[in-house]
Amino acid sequence: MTMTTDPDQGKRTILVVDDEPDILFSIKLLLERSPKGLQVVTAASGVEGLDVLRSRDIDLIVSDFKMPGMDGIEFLLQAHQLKPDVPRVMFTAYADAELARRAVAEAFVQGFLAKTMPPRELVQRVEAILGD
Amino acid sequence: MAAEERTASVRFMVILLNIATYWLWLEPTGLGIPALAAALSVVALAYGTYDLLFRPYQHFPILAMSLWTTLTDGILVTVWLHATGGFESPYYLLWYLSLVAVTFRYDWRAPLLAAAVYAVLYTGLVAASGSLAVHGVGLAIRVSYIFLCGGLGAMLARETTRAFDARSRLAERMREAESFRSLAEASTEALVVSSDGVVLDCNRAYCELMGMAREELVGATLLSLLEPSSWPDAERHFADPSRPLEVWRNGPHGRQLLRVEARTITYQGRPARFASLRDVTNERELQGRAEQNALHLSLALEAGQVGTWDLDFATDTTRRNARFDQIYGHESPKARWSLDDFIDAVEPEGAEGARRAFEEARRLGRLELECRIRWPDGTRHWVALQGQLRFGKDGVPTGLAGIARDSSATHRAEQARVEALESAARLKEWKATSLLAAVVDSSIDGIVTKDLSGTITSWNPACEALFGYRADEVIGRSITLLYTEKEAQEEERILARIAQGQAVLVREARRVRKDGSVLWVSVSASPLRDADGTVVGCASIQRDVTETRAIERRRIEAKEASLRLAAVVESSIDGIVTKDLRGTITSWNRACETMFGYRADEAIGRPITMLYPKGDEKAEENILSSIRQGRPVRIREALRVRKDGSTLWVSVSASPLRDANGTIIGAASIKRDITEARLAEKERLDAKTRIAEFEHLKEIDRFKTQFINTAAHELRTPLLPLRMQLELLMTDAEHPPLPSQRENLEVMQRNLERLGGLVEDLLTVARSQAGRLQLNTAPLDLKEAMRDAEQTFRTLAASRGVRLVVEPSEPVTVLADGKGVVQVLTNLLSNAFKFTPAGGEVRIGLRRDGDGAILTVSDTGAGIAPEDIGRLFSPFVQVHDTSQVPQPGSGLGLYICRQLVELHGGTIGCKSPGRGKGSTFWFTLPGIPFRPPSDAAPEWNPRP
Repeated sequence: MTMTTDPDQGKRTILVVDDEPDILFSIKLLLERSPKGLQVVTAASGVEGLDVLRSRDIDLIVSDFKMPGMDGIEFLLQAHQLKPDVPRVMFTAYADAELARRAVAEAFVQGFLAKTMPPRELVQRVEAILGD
Repeated sequence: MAAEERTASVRFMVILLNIATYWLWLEPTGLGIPALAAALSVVALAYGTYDLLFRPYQHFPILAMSLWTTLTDGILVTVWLHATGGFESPYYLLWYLSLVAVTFRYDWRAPLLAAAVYAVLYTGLVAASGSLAVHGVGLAIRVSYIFLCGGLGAMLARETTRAFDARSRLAERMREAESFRSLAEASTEALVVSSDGVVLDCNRAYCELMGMAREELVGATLLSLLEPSSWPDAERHFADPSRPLEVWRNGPHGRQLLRVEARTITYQGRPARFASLRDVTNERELQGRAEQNALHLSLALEAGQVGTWDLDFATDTTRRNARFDQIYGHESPKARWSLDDFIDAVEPEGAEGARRAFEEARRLGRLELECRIRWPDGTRHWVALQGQLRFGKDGVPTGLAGIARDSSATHRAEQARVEALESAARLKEWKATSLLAAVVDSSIDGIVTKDLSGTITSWNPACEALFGYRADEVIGRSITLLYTEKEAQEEERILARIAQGQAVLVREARRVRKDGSVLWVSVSASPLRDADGTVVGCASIQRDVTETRAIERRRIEAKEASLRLAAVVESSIDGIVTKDLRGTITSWNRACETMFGYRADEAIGRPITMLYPKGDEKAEENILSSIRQGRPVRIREALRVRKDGSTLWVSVSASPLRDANGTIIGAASIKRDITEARLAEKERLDAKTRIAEFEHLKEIDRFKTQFINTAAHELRTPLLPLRMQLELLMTDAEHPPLPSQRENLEVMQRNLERLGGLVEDLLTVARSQAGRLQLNTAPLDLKEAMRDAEQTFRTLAASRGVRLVVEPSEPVTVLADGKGVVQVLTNLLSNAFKFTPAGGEVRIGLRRDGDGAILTVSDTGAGIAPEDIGRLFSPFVQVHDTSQVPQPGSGLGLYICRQLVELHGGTIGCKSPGRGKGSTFWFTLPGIPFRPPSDAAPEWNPRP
């Protein structure tokens, strides 16, 4: 990448994968408004997410669990195989222990967030995982 | 163009022209027009030249009629028009319709119909014009005229056509006849048609065959064409021509043999004979020669054994071979052998017969003669002669040729037979006077005597009945006649023993009747001796044992079967009992002994009802009554009693027992112990039911889980974007909401949170109901939890003007689900705030209770009536003070609290001094050490 004029340059890029367009749209706005300067790219499915992951650098992946076709665990596992260094978070309405266990054991996620948590908290958690 | 089309086109033209003519006629100045019409008609005729040339007979009457009606009716109409000044147009149309019909159909009905229609229509028109009286006469004339013209035309056309068709058919037939005649002429077969024996016609081949001209032949009688010798045959043939005839004719071609085949036909309307003839003279000669060759061949084959001879009629000499002379006893061949020599050799009594045979042979063509001859040395011999006529070229027999055999040997055999018969006759005569003979004759056993060679010498009536042979049929013949091939050797052995003077008894022997059927006899043979005591033959008594043998065999089979059956019964694992019709046990197998505990000797003779439970004996009556009617009985399950009083379940299958006459004398009943099988079956069914129930429950459980999961996901998902969008609006730094807008947003946010809470509550209840509410326990500092809760509600408390107090306490740590405990505290606090008015106070307290803890949330609010306290923690219960404004809520909060607390092993409760006096909610968390959690926490977020 040689785009020195890119205003987004230097921003941390987060890939959000969810099959609900409204959720994608809302998360994108919410995270990009963060004073930390986050850039959000979205994908509507696991396959699309993997394509994005192949084509550009990503700093964090946030993925839904229940999606048509490839589910969140499968997607995050493949993402792990593709770019092992990118941290992954599962963000789901199925907030139960069993799914959390699977997400850790099978997809090696670094975080497991419930969709019921207040939006502000979501932003804080994401920022926390990105560090600095 | 096909003829039919052409005809149709002409008809069409004629009609068209006629219509044109009428039209012109009617035109005002029209009196000169008929000429034009006539001219057009001529054109029509010319156009139809083809038809007019070839079938004028059909068109002429129609054309004529058309022209005639055109002219006459035209004049009539013209006059009429001038006279009445009326309207006539429809009339022409109808008239032409009838003409069309007539022309095409030649039918009487067409003009009739046209006239009728016209009459009706015209009457109507005239009536409309109001001058019926004036036109009445005119109408009548017109109708009659139409009918007359149309009818005449149709009749004329039809008759003409019919006449011509008849002529045309005649010509056709003549043409056909001509073609047949030419075919007959060309035939190489000689063909002749005759009637009453006189030639009516013939073809060229016939003329050639006869060597005569047709003129000579036609009218000649058939017989005059034949040799007189053939007349009788010919006359017979005239009467019945079904078989071919061969006749001789002596004509210009010499003597001819003609083969005639005839059929009866109808010729020129009369019955006649149609015959075909063929010259078969040569065929006949060839055939004769072929037959002679064949004969010679067969003679050659028999030469040596057989004497051959060939008598020539012309010279009356016989050619013979050497054997022939030997047969007639001549050492050296005689010089000449004439017909008379044949006759003279025969013994005087046969001479006349022999002569007749030779004469017959000339007529019949064959000789068959057997006669006794006297040799020159005076001895008598038999000779058999066979011969056949041979024919010369002209078909006249020229000689008789054949063979001669010495048949003396055959005759001697026959003689012996005759003698045996004679001696049998003598025996019969003797028997008639003898007591023994009477016994023999009246014996129901067959008695037969034979000599030592096995030749039958006597045969009594019983033998006749037994074997189907009459005495005269068998006497003199060998006894082996009655034997099957296999037993012929046996006979030799028997005879050998008889010859030694021994009697022989054969218990069962196979014999064959005259009709070929087999029978079994017992044979008792004893030697017959002559006056000197020498064995000269054998007398054997034959008794039919076929029936006895079959019975015996059946008896043995039955005995074997019953033995086998007994073995089966005894070794059966099923209990087999037989009983008589009164229900008394008559047999009892070993399986019964094991099954019921009675030994056979204890059971036999006792009533079968001893096996029945008390009061059930009537069932046996039903079984026995079915058995008496010959119906088998099957009972799937029946309770029976053992000797020791214990009961068992058996299946019963009882069938009638019959004696040899088929009378039912009792029942055989097979009992199988099904106690075990019954238990097993019951267990199997129970297990099956249980498995099904279990499966069903599992299915419901699976469904519940799935439902809850889906509901959780689907209910939560739409809440998330709402929340995030609200958050975005409220925290938008660039476009901060106006204060009024902020209020709106807060209402939205509050209600959204309520909705979110409600969804979570419902899901929690559903999980709890499904038994799927799980705790994720971890060491929990309750004091910290309490402080967190206070933080959460601080803002609310401030806004409500209610004081929130956390009572001081020592830190207490228990194993608990932090989220759950916070949920309980949150619920209790929000209830407290809900029901506490401004200026009131809400307090949170914590106390150690043994190893565990007691948490309290008390308020100074609305309080609760004592009677309501008991149902506070049930689902969907809201306790309202009717004097106060109802507070929103799902009525699930306290229920969920109880579920969560009880899941922790604690208890929850409430106390209130009464309405308006505040209330205190409390719950305990036991200090028992929880097993370390195996699952990761739902919200698990390792710090980097």
